[in-house]
Amino acid sequence: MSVSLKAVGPHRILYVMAVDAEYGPHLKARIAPFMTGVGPVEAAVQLTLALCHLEAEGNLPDLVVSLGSAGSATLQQTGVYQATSVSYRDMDASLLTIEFKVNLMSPGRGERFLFRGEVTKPGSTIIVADGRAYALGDGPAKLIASMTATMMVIRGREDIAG
Amino acid sequence: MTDFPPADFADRITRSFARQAAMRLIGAELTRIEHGTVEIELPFDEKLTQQHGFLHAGVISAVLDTACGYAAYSVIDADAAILTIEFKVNLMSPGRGERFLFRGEVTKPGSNIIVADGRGYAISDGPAKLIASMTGTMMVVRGREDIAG
Repeated sequence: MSVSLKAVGPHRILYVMAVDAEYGPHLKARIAPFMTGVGPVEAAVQLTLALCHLEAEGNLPDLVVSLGSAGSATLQQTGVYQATSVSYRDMDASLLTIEFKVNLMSPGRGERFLFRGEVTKPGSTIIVADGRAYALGDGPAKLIASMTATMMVIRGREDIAG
Repeated sequence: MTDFPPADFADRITRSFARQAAMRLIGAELTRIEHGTVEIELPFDEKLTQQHGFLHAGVISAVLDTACGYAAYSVIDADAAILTIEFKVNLMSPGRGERFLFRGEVTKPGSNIIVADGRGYAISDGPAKLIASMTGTMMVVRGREDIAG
């Protein structure tokens, strides 16, 4: 196991990332992160193992910096965050829509259309999402439709993945 | 609701359906037209599936909306048209089957607003399976040249 710390000012930092796919040339020129693999369980197990090795060498870092989304779709890009809690999220769950309501506000006329879906209420079993549709043309975007939908989180069904 | 079926409503629905490019694109067929009831059938096609291989909810909604819309169209004057203003869809079972049947029925006729209900069934070897339902609200449109039939 190769784990290297980087000295930044007075601090010795362990950089952590999930996969090489996120490790571009700018990062490669600056840091040599420890790669954990994707998912909260993988990250926890691999990082714990790495810290045990470092502790055995008397070489614990002052700080662990994780580069990535931390499993969040809502954190602002390029921001710096301190983790205060950790929650488990299934990497193998998928979704099925169970119902939705659509309001059609204007006829669907336009050169292009934009559809935005946003989570209104996240949940472990049921997720409520709202969507809006806009017609795009020369003028300002026109709201043509809205949706409120209920999604069910599906786990452990082999025929339903992704 | 017109007490008697409006003249030639079946022909007008057939002609209007033929102008729906989206229905042609997905391979939907108009199979039954009655006063207040319309049925549309759709063979399964891999091009119409979502990521798990089931018939896409958008396709189910589009055909249910079309069936409900023409059910409403069958009970209005010949010079009026129908636009959907809202609908609610319940997806009861995954859209798996060899064929699908969608039936739209007028629940509450009206001169300006019509409420229609639709049901979607998956058809394979066994009995038809209810996969989805819709309640839609349709607006009767008159005197707009860009919206006819």
